[in-house]
Amino acid sequence: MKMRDPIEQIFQKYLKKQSPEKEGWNTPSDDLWGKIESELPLKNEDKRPGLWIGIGIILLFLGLSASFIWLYSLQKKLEYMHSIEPKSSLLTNEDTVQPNRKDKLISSDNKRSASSDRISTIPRSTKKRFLKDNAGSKSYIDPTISYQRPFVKKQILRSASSFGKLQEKENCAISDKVNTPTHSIMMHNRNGQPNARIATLPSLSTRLQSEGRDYALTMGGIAVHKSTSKPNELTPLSIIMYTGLSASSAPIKGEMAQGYERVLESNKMMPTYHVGIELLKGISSHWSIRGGLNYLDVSLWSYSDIEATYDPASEQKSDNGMMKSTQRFSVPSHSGMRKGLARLQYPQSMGVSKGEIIEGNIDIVEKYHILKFPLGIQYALPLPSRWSVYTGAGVSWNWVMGGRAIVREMSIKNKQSMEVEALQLTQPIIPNYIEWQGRAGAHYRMNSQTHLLLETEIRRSVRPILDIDQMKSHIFGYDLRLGVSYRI
Amino acid sequence: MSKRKEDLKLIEACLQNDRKAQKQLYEEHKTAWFLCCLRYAEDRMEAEDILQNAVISIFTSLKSFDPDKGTFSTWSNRVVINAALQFLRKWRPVDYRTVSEAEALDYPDKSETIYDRLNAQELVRMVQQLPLGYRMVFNLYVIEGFKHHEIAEQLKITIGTSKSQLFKAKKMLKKRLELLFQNQ
Repeated sequence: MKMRDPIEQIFQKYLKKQSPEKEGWNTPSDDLWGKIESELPLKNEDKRPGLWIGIGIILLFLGLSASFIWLYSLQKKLEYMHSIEPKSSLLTNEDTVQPNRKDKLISSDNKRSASSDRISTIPRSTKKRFLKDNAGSKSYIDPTISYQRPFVKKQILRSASSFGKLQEKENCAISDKVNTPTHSIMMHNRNGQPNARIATLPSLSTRLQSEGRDYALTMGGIAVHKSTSKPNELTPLSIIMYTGLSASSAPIKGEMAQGYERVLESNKMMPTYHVGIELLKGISSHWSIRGGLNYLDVSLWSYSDIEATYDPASEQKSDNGMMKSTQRFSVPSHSGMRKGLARLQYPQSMGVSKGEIIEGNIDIVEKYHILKFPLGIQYALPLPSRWSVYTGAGVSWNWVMGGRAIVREMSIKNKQSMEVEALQLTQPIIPNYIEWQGRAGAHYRMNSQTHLLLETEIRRSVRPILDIDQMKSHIFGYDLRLGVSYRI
Repeated sequence: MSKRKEDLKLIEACLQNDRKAQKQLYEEHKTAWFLCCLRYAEDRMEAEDILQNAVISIFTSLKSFDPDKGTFSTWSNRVVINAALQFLRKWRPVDYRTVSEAEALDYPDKSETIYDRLNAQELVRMVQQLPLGYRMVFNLYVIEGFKHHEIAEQLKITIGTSKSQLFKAKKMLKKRLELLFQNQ
């Protein structure tokens, strides 16, 4: 049997142990598990929680949009139905039948004014004859007609306020089940259309009413009208497409862990671009809700000093007579601490001695692709002529889809040159984040459906994107965009 | 429950990305893994970097562990070695240059009693001070028990280079040991 070398025997005896005893020198530091844990995949049930939040926001947004579109189309349908003359010769162009309640014939006049808001009642004999003649006929039946009129038999305008904006009304009956006199005060907008009503007596009913362009919710004794007599200048529902320039920065502030060099600068604004598509829904004459998708390229810059201690053990002579030495370094960046190797090159004659500190600096640009889901509210003010201005605020959930780091340069000092061989990331990219947004802009109305918009936006992450040791960093940025808004 | 069954249960939980189980597994094996990293690294800091990569590799490739083919210790040790070699290939330029023959000395003719005065920490330090090429071949051959053709394949060198690196590594270690004994 071949005898093993004594050297081999010695080292095998001491080092080839599956379960060595724990001592200080052969045990990793306590904080190592924390670093490992941060890079391990998430638990199965926690995988991509942000994705589900994003999907939820989109579904909610689509649901709301669909509701608005449905209500809008219903309103259009009603307007259309009102414009159709009944086929029966027994009905005038102001009368129609409510199919769900054939014992009532009510006016179809949708053009309510302060003085003409009354309903003519057809005599009972006429109604019976009409129902008999049209038995089985569906020509005049449309399910949407049941929504078209309020259940008010009589309204009397009593007086107007001194400003002409308040009107007092008395409703004799407002419910199809309970006839209760209601005394109310109407508030009107500048166009004379009601936008709120406060009733002094309870109506004892709760219903959604559709009167042409007015949606009314009557609950107890208070009714709130949504007046759309003069549609929002920014259109009831519009799709906005835009693109523009962005500038982002994320200054790293705070103290770094002992042993790392200080970041000198990290607040330079880096220009990129963005594109977006959003929906805008007017909820009153001035207010709108806005949300959608936005793709943004973000560049973050940081600049650090590095100091390498010269160690002859790592020195090699290169073909061109220069000496090469490889040094390790660790610098902060927006995605965490980056470890790397700096290859120093210097003339042999320089006589660098062991322990001497060789200085350099490193410039890192991290580029990220971000998909944003903004949701906000905005207030618009029409100006004379075709212009209107607006301002708004909101939040955005930002999904960081991927990124990369670019090491721009290493400095040259005292005939030394440095180059970075590679950079090892402690974590691959910055985390997904939520940001506040504030915007202001102007619309130019090209025609009734199309607007041009010029807009600027400022944004800032709600929580820091970098939070290691004592260092914190928020992303903030500015966007300048040009877009087009098209009324759907 | 036997130790083996406990280990398998723990591994099963780790496969579900159970953090507690992963930490428990790490705590149980970290000393062995770290000792292995120390042998390949130049210093403690580098060893921790290697261990960090190695542990992530262990947990991400845990599915490939087959308990019928061997123990978890053996399998995980192999993953740690691979992680160490990968790390060194990436971050350290390997130089299989030779050292002067003057460095080659005879084996120190010492008694077992003197050898017994050695401790693992000193020996690990000696291995760490070897040039990278020597260190890798020495660890793979002497400690891990690989054959020269396996090492050559692993490190993408010739069998001759592997043998010469081992020979020179042992010579250098002999010299270091002798110096150590002289000081004692």
